[in-house]
Amino acid sequence: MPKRLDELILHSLSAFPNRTAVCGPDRTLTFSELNDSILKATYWLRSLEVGKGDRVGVCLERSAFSIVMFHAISRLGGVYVPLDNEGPSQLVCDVISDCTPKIVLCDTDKMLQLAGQISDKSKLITVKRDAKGNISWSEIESMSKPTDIRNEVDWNDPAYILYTSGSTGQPKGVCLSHGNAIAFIEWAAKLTNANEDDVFASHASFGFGISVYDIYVPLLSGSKLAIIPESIRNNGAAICTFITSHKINHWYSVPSALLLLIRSQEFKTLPSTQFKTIKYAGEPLPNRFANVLRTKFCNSRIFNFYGNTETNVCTYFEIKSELDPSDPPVPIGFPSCGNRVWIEEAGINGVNRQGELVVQGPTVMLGYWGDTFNTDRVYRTRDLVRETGDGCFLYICRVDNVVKIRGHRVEIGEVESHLMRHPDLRDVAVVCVGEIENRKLIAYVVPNDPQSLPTLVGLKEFLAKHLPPYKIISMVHFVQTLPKNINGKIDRKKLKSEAEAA
Amino acid sequence: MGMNDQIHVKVRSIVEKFLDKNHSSEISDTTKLITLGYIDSFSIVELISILETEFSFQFDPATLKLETFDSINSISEAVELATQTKFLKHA
Repeated sequence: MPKRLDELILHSLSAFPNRTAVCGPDRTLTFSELNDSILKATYWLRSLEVGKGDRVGVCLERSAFSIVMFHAISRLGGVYVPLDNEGPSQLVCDVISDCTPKIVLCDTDKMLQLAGQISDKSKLITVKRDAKGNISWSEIESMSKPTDIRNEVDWNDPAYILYTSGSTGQPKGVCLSHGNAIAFIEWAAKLTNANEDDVFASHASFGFGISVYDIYVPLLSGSKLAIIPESIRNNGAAICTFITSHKINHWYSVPSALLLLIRSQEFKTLPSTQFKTIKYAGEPLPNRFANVLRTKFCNSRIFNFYGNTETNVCTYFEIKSELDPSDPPVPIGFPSCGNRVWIEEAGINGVNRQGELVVQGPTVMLGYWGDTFNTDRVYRTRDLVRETGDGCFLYICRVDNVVKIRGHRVEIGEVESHLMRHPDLRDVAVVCVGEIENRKLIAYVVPNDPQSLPTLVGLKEFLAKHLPPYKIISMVHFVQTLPKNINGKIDRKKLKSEAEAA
Repeated sequence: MGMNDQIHVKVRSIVEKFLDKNHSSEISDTTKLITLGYIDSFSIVELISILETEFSFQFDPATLKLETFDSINSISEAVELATQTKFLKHA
């Protein structure tokens, strides 16, 4: 097994040089062409003085170009940082000031937005677009084909940083090493068992841990990666058509993306033999929907993966038979990727041991960017779980106040801390209500002056300066005081039941 | 009332119906519907199909952009553009 991310292509490069490796909205590349592009990109990035240990922000859509950049950055021993090119530019600026990248690759529009907000504009490297709006490859293609450049990289050196929301309102950079990623990729490839005729899909954003599977696992088996264009990413019918036309047979996404497919008219046109594997992660999939998949794709292997950005997949469960719709969602299952998982017990309760899930092992992150890295590689998940007698884990709920909205992790505290900065508000509490497909954030706020209340649209606009749409409140209730429990903490249970009753 | 005004009024009423009742009064023609979380990116497909049914036409999927559906004004413009040829034929 290779020891660094940029070596994962080597097997397919020699075994299947002329088979398609990546089919993106911008380019379709064979393994041989992918490798040539990576060589040129490495040369280009080196001319921009990217070297070992340097962070490089990639603020572009999911494309063959972005993938080429990730490989090239790895060859130089650099650390790539995927940035959301559709999110608020303030968030991108916060990340830039946190991880201080050598350069940030972005398109002209983004450059113009960011230029006013960051101090060192020379960091911003503009990637042009062609007449169709796709990323232009002219910069790379003008490079003459250079010789192989590789800087030394150690198993434990950082390879990429994925940003997640922090409860303080400041994003936290989850720093993952080559070894972290490869431990997961090796495990996932074995489970997927793909061959050179197989096709994987890229649906998850490159800033999301799920995409590590999409980008690297197909490389090990000479399989193709088909990138679902951003323009149809939320359109179930169009995705179904894309799946059929590209013969996609390995799928991995958040459950809400699977729901998009299931709900579309075109879902029934997918043959029962479409998928070899279906994997989902990020939040539970209600049993009634898992059953739709289990019944329709009777020969597919269907898995629930569990993990955090900080751990990647640390447990997994295979759904082998139909489920009772009134049961809780399937277990998160058994340890994966050579990780050790255990329960930090809050109290022993016979065989039903319950407490916070703790993970230690090869996929657990180096640490948060800016912190001193721990060598023990232990991560406390803040998820409350129960262990059944046979070593299988069941997810119960978050230990603290984090919710999932359409697959995104939302720390309620982050939304509250931004809302608290509004000049007209004295106290705020946010609760999340609704089922997975219809989850909403409801704010309870104490105004400074009950005679002049801010409007909901005003509060939304205030939040939208810093937060993406899924973190924005759907409703606001003005109250005189927030209910407190016996410890003086906000009584969230009471607010939640009030909000659910409303 | 001109043709474009009629489209605008109809778009507005469709969007209002689509949103929670308690939201419709605060939405102006330029309020950013997606950016501000009034419509989530998953349910936008539903809104598109309602618009297509109500105006009996189809958006060209190749040119569909999320930004197009970010306000009542931009939706109206897109509908006007897409239905123009059709109305001209009837005129």
